[in-house]
Amino acid sequence: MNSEIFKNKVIKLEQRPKRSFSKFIIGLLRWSILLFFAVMTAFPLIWTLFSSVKSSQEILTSALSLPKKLHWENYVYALKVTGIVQSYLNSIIVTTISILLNAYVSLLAAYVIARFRFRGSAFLMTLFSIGILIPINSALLPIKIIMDNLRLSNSLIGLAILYTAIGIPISVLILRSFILGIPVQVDEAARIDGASLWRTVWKIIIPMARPGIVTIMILQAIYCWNEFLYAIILIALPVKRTLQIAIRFFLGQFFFDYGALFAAMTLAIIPTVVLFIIFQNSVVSSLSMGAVKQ
Amino acid sequence: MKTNQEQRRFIVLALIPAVVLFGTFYILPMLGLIATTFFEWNTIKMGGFIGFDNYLKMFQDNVFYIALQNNLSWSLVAMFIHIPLALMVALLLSKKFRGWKVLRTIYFLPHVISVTAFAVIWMNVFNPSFGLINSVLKMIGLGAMCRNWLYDQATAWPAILLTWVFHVGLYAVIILGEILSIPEELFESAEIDGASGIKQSFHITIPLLRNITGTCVILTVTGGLRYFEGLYIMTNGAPNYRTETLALYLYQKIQLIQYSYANTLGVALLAFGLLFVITGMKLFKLGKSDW
Repeated sequence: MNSEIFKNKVIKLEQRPKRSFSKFIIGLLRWSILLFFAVMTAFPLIWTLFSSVKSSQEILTSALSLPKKLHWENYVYALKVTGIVQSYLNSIIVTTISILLNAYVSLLAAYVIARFRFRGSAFLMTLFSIGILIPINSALLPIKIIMDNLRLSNSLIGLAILYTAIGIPISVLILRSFILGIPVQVDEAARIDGASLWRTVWKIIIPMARPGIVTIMILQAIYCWNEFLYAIILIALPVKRTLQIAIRFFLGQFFFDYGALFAAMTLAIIPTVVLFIIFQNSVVSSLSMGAVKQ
Repeated sequence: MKTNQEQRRFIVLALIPAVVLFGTFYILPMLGLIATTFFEWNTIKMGGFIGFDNYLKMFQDNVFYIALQNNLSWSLVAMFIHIPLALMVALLLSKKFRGWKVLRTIYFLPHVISVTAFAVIWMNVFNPSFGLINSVLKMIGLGAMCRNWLYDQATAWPAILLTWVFHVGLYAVIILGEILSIPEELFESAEIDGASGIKQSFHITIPLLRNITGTCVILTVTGGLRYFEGLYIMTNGAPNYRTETLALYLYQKIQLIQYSYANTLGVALLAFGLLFVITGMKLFKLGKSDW
């Protein structure tokens, strides 16, 4: 066995000079593919950034050139006109309420489904599994009518409750598989020590299922932050617009002031980009974990 | 039997919030969606029973077919171009050469920027007078190819597809996570057997990625069916319904107060989605483990 490995190594060494040209070609190919994707992604963003400090005249006459003079007034104007600060706050409120509510509700349900057999438990699992597959946009009208009747339309809390509900199936299924990974003996030990089931969830399950909870919170946050369809059909009051809805109205607000439009877009995207770059490791690892756990 | 009683109480109380929310915002809307398609409903008040009229109307509606065709081509591009590209990028990144994390971050950026914001950026990219694409074409001497990309009947839908097909970061990251979790020994033994890097990818890595690739296909197809905001902002179905999809058409019908027809389109969207997902699961034999 050992000599076999040795023989292979020798063959490899002999092949190296012959192979170096094809290695070079493969390397070149690899980098051109990777750079192509990077350019496709980054170029529009960098272009937006540069255009945001150009005058509208400059954008129209020389769209690709670097800004000659930095027109920061674009930003001042964009902040003044759009009410972007208010819509930022609204989005933060909706997202925060929804991720907390979703985590609480889903954790309890996932714990019960993972740990107890009762009448209807299999049926409930099936319902949640089907829920994941349903394109919920198809029920736009029925949901609008339900929201109107519950007086949850035009309310940020209402929107947060709806998003919580929409996120339940995926959150429950992800959390359930995390809880199944925790040995039952751990909860039994806590129960023998006299802890109630509520206390067991609070003191044992939450700390132990933390990676799962972080995963569903990130997924839910991305969903809430970006949701557009229900926000636009349920929120009519301008002061309650979420960021996404506000962005849609930017287009009409600037008409031919392209510099300010680019500035507003930059303001809309910078905070999430910065947040992502800070937390990217946990976002990336939890996303791949969440997908596998499904 | 105090514990048993306590347990039963706990089960009920812990399930109530999730079940109530799921019932109110999934089950009730779905039942409402299907039931109302059999009624006339073109004003605020619902009218009488009309049987399958809405469905007959839908099957004679040309715009419905354009929307369906667009949803189909979107799903196929997602399955056969988008995900394979993501797989390729993930395989390339998995070699962990210097700078791979920076590239991963760049690839992922479009997914942290909202679709809405990116749609506005794309409108500017495609803008006929100062847009990025036309400016580049003029610079390299291909000014004759310039056009109003989003409003030209021939290029509108391909332009829409172009807005996302190369943004593979999300699925590349998900697949990459799976590649990195493949036990190292598998590659070592292949190395000993003399398999090259590319051979290793095709014979070891890719077969092991069946499950995760299938999951990604389903995620991207359902995501595509849900996609609305970008189209709504960029074209709203123009030119001449070329960029209509079921989700967008359904929204437009609600705006026109054709409520029961909108719900019929909703049922079509639901059926289309379930059909695709179930086919995808069968195709990739999802849920079966590999090792």
